[in-house]
Amino acid sequence: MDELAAALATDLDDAFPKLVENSGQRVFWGLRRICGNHQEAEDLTQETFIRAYRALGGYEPERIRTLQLHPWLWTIALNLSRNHLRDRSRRPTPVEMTVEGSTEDPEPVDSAAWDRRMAELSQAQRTAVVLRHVVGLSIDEISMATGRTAGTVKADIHRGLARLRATMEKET
Amino acid sequence: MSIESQLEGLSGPLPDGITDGVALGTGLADGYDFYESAIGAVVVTFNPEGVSSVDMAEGFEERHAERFGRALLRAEAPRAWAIHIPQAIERGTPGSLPLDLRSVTEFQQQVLLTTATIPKGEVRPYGWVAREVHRPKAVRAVGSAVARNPVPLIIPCHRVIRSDGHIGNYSLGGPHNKVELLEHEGSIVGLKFDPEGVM
Repeated sequence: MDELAAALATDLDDAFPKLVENSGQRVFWGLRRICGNHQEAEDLTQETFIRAYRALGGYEPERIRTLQLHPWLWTIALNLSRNHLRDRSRRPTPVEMTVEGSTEDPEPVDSAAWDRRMAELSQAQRTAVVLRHVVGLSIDEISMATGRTAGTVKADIHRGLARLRATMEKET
Repeated sequence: MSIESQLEGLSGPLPDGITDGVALGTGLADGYDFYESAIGAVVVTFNPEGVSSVDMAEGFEERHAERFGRALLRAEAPRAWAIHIPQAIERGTPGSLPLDLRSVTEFQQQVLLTTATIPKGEVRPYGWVAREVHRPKAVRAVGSAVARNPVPLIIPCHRVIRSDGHIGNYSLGGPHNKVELLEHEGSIVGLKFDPEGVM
């Protein structure tokens, strides 16, 4: 990613598609697990990259070169998803029209079951668990992306996993 | 299988459409769609700045790449503009439609925005446009600016003619299209069609 940051600093328009290619999949599936909805995650992913592009366009090349791209992208993605989830909670819940497994884009087979389990976690726990184990960020990177200390992030992950285990045990 | 391993498997491929959506949303690619006009099917391209070009459908990809250097993706126009595009083409005025005129100089933008004020059914000589932009001697430069119009039909450069009554050249498919448009708008009476199209 350091090489990509350097390329973005040199020629943003030329290098930006590479950032989408490298990180798009992980950003999408992270957001998909955090917000629990395929279509909303697609919209949030697009918006994350569009905002990232605009932000990079306003940065000095030196600043871009020193960016840690993954945590930085996730700062934008989490901010958008927080606002989105807050707005959604203020609106009446729409009737779910799509039948499970009917979306055109492929989802893991037990996707809906994981959505139910993830919904049991607090937002901080869900975010930390997803960023660590679905997206694959390090504790330090999660700390940078969420603005929480490494110790708090570890505790969020630990409690989140314990909660998921307890939920899954109840299912059996 | 541990819960951590199960979580690691909770992803899949990047859904189709996201990469294109980002390219369109950032303006790294222009979207395009087809519209009807008095001279046949035209292609309109757009990006977050506004409508960036209007061109004849045949061979537009190559001309777009050469002039703008951006990728092209088939797309629906942004919802807020969608109804304004056919209106702008039919009326020959941008109205509230945003235009992306970054492909021309500031002077050329002034010329084009002045050209946009010529009402349907009327024509003006190049010299009139030059006077309106306070460069009365720059008639030739006005001619070049009009020829560089990236959004013909919407900025009605077909309404700018030579002072001797010849209709002059037209970038959108040649002078016969200019004649057809002026006939369609009822402003061809008394004008001379120069098949050579020399300005």
